[in-house]
Amino acid sequence: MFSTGNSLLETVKKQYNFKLRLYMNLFISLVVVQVIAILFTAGGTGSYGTGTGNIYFYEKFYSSNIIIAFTLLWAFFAAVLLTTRDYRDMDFVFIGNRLSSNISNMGFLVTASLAGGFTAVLGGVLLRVILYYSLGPYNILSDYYFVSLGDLSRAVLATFLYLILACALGYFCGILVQLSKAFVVILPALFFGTLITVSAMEEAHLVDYVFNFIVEESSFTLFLVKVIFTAAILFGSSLLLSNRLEVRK
Amino acid sequence: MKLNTDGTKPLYVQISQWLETEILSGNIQKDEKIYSQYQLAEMFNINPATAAKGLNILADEGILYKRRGLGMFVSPRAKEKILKKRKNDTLRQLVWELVTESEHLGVEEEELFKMIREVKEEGRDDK
Amino acid sequence: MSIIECRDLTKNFGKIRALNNLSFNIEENTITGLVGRNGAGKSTLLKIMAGYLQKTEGEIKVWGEDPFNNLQVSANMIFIDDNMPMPQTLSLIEILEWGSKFYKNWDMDIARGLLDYFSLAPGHFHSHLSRGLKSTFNVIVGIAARCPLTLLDEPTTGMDAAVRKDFYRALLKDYLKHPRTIIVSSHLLNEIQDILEEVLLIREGAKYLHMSISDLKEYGIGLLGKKEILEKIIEGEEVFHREELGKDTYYYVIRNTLKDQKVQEIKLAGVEIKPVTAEDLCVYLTAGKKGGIDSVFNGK
Repeated sequence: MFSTGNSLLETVKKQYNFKLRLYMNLFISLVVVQVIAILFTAGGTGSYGTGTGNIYFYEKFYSSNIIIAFTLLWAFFAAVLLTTRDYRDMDFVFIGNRLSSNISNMGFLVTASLAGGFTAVLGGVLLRVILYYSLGPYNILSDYYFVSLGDLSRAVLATFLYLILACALGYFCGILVQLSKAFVVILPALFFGTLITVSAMEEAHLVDYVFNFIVEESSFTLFLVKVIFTAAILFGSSLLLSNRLEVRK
Repeated sequence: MKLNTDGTKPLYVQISQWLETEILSGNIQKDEKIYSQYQLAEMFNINPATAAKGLNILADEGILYKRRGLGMFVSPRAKEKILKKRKNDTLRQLVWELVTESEHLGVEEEELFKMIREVKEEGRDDK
Repeated sequence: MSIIECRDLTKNFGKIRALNNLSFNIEENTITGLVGRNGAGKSTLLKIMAGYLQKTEGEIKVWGEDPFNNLQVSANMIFIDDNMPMPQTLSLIEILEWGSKFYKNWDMDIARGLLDYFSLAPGHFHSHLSRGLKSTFNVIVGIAARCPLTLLDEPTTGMDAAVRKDFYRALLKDYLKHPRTIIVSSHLLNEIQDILEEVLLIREGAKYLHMSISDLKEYGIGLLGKKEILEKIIEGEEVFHREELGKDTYYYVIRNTLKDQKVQEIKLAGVEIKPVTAEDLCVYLTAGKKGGIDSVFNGK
């Protein structure tokens, strides 16, 4: 007999759990990406040397920004990956429709972003520990070497939000490519085209504005609202665009 | 029994004939419940609708009777009816084919009767 | 009760018309064989029923709802074919366990029993299986899911004869215990006909006929005999197939509308009457070109 009352929420939950198990390898790739980033960073991200007479200064800069940048890239491509045929087909092995599939994907990406945020920030801490043992305590000169728990948790939250943005953007680009393969060319062209135009004209206000809208926000609450708003728009448009996609042609 | 699936005889006809043979041989007695369509489907690996069609032929001919909610049962005069039917239909058809074929081959009537007698005698000897 | 209702269903892939004004109903708890040549549109039709593809025109209702992108239909339906995507990172038994989490009626005992019977190691991965074993595993999922609507698209591809037989028996037994609506597509009618109730024959995306299998078996009749006698008999009859078998000898397949009286007359005239199997009939009905493959070699 036809059974009704198969709720969307129930299906989304099942698909979400299914995906956590299915895409475990994405979390492994996260760890690999971050280990590589730490190795890069441990060599220093910049250096400066000067000397007068017998005194010689040599400074090396260390920053966990590379770890976060790598994690952002990982999040972007993980989101793109979820929109590809092989991954989308997994939603139709068992029960599901496009809505449940999209929502469970978003749930998965939020989880991935959270994991990414934690590990990226902890990677920064790991970097400090590595430096402590490799350089010795007396060679470290920094205002930011010691971080409080509050700073750490704010860092995790901020990274998490940036990752969600990266995921939302990746997911949106992925869906566009699924709709038309032309976007494989158009999107990179658009991206690099904008970069070139910006550097050539030096006053691309729009790009500046978009960038400042998120990145330069100094109020944390406002930043939070802006990220959620932007991610919601990107995910929402992805959802609407993919809702009519046919599966398994 | 194995059903003949080469298409010479529809499956439901084969089912009804198999049931008739079961009744004639006394495997199923009068007023006894006959196999359900699902049992037949399982036994012969066929669709239950096909089995039902076979059962319904027998019900239409009065060889089986229906009892509401209980299924189909063998009529008291089932054997008689089957024998009569087989004589009238099956045997007659066979005889018709026999006669047609003998005409094709130009076999005379006497020769045909002789052949029939011979076959009957062979059958008696075998017993 | 009709579970699937199609009215003038049409599907285009770009400029190619895959389905052309199909109209039919599928009744609840029947087993229907979807038959047709390769490229006739069988898979497209099944995928539209499954809600995977979107119709172009016309109407399709599954339990009264448009199946495309429909969660309720998806929850009550399973679609099995030989290139069904299966998780690469899960073992066979894990896939089955996930199946049991998704489907309400899932029967894990049957799933395990069939896995064992067909000698599939529970720890194996789907991607490592041979084509035939993949099909076998997919149909296990199809049977165990026990969905009210079970769609099987060429389910036996790559299976050996013994497994095919076992599979159809398993399908029938489970159907007898738990009746449901099953649609099986195949171009080999012979192997599925016994378990079917209905046959839906499509040709070039259009419905050719839809009738019970027992009617289909009596739908055509073969006549073998001398040319001039046959030509007289078939006048005004619907001819499905004509074949030259020897000097002056022809084999005709016509629609079986002959009365008993006429049958006897025909027999007396020296014409042999042969039953036409459902499979052969379908081949004749869906034959692409008049004259068949021979016409290519006759240089016409």
